[in-house]
Amino acid sequence: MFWSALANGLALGAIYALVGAGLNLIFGVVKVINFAQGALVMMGVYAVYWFAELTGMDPYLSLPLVVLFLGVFGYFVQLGIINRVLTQERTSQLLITFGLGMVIENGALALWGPNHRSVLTFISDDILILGDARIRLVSVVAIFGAAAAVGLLLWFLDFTRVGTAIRAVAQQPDSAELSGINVKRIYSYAFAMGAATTGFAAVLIAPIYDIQPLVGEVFGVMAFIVVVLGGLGNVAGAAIAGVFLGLAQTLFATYVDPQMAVAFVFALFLVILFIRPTGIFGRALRVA
Amino acid sequence: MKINKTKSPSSSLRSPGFSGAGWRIHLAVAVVLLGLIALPFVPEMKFYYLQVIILIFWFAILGTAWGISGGYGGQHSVGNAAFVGLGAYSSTLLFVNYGISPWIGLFVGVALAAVFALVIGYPVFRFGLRGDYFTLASVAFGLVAFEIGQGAAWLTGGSQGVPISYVDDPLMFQFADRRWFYFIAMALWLITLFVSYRIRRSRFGFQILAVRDDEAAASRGGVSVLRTKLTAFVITAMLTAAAGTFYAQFFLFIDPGAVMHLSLSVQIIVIAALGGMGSFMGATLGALVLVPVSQVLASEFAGIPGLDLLLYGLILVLIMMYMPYGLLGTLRKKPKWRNIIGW
Repeated sequence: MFWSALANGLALGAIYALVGAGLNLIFGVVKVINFAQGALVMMGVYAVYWFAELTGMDPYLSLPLVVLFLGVFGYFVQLGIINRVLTQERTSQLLITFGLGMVIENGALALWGPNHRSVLTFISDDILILGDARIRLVSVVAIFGAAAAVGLLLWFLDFTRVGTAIRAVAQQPDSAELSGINVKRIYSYAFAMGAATTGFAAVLIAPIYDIQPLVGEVFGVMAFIVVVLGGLGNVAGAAIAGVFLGLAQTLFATYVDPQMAVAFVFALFLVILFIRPTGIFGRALRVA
Repeated sequence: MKINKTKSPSSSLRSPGFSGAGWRIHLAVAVVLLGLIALPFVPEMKFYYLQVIILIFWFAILGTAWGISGGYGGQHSVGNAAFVGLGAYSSTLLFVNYGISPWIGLFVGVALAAVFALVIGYPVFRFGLRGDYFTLASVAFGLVAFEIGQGAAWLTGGSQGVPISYVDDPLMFQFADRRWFYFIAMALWLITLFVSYRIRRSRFGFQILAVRDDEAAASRGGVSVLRTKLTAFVITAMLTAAAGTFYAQFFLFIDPGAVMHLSLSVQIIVIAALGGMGSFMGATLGALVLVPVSQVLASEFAGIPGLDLLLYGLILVLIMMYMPYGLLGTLRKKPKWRNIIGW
C-alpha cells in the first residue's frame, strides 16, 4: 500500500508541479499572481472533454490543440485585460485575475451544469504493477508527461530567442526595454505560456479525474502553495515543492483520513509559512 | 457650518468629518434611519422584503469589516469567510451540543476569530513580506477552514450542515417575531459603521493609511507596521465573526458551503470594492446595489447555477479595470464629499 500511495502521490505532485511552473512563470515575468490558474486548468479539461466527445478520438491526441487553445486564450487575457492595469496597485491586478477565474468557472457551471463527466483513453483500464506498487497507467503518463512539459518549458526559456527575452524581462524590465524588447508583448507571451502549461496539465488530468466545473480549483490552489513553498520565480524549487505536496497529500489520505487530506496540505502550508515565510527554497521578497 | 475654514494641511488632516457635513446631509441621514426603523411596522409588509434588507445589512457588515484591514490597510484578505464560519459554528456548536446561549457563543466566536487572525497575521506580517503573501495565506486559511468544515464531520457535521432547533427564547437569540432580526442586523450594521468611521478618524486610522501607502516611510515615521496591520486584521475578523453568529441564528441552519466557501470571501470583496473600499460607507453602498441584483438573478435564473457568481466575477473585473476606487471613489475628489464619505 505504501508504494502505491507513493506512486500516486508522485503523479499528483507532478501535476501540481506543472501547474505551479506555469503560475511561477507568469508571476516571475508579469509579477501578477494569476488566481485564474485553476479555472484555466478546468477550461483545458473541458476542452479535452469536448475534443474527445466531438471527434471521437483519444483524449491524449487533443494535446497540441488544447495547449494552443489555452496559449491563445492566455495571450489575449494578458493583452486585453492585464496589460491595461499594469500601472495599478498589484492587489487590484490580483483581484482581476480572481474575478476572471470566477467568470470562467461559473460560466462553465452555467453552460454545462454541475454534472460529473469523464473521458476514456485507450489506457484507462490498464494498471501497472511494479513489485508492491499498483498504479494506473494514466498516472504514469501524468508523471512522465508533466516531467517532459517542465523540461520543455525550461529548455524553451534557456535556449530560444523568445525565452531569453522572457528571462531578460523577468530580471530587468527597464533594461530589457532599452535593448529593444517589446516588454508588453513579452508579458503576453509569458502569460500565454503559463496558460499553455495548464493546457498540458489538463490533458494529463482529464483521464484521471471526474470532469466538473470545480475540477481545476484544487490544482489552482495547490499551484499557489507550490509556488510559495518553492519560492516565487523559482521553477525548479516549485517542481520539488509540487512533488512534496502531492506525496504529503496522498500519504495522509492513505494512512490517516482521505476526507481531510486537502485540509492537511493547506494546514501544512500555513505551518511552513509560519516557520519559513519565504518558502522552503525562497529568498525573501520584501517591500522596498 | 464653515467646513473649509483653513486650508492648511495640519487642519485638513483631521477633517471635520461627518459632523461638518451640513444640515441637509444630517437631515437626510436622520430620515433614512427613521425610515429604516419604521419599515417593519408598515402594514402588510412582506417579510421577504425585510429579509432582503437584512441581507443587505449583513453583507454591508461583512464588507465594512473587510474594509478596515482590506481598504484602510491594503491587506486584501480572500479568506474572510473563514471568520464568518468561525462565528457561525462557534455559537451553533455551543448551543446545539451544550445548550449555551448563542449570545455567549457570539463572543466566543469573536474571541476565536481574534485569536485566529493573530495566528494567521503574525507570521505573514512579521517580516514585512509583500502584500501578495498575505492574500495567499488568507486564501489558504479560508480553504483550511472550509475543508475542516466539510471533512471533520465529528466536529462540524460535515457537508450536511448543522440545523439549529428553534426555542422561543430571546435569551437564546431566537424570536417569535422575526422582525427582531431586522433590528439586530441593523444595530450590528450601525455598530460596524461606527467602528469603521471612528477608526478612520483616529490616530490608528492615520497610521494604517500610512502603512498602506508606504510601509517603509510609515515605519520611519515611528509607526509599528506589524502592530498596525495586526490590529486592523483582528478588528476585521471580530466584526466578521459576529456577523457569522447572526447568520446562523437567522437561518437556523449552517453548512460549510454557505458560511465558509471561497465564493463568500469573494462576494465580500466585490461588495467592498464596488462601493469603494476607502470609505466607511462603501460596502453599504455596494451591498445596496449587489444584494438585490443577486436576489433577482438567483430567483429569475434559478435553473442556471453559477450565474450570480459569474456576475460577481464580471463586476469585479470591470470595477478593477475601469473604476478601481469604486462608486464612492468618484466623489473623493471633492473636499466636501470627501469629508462625508470619510475617504
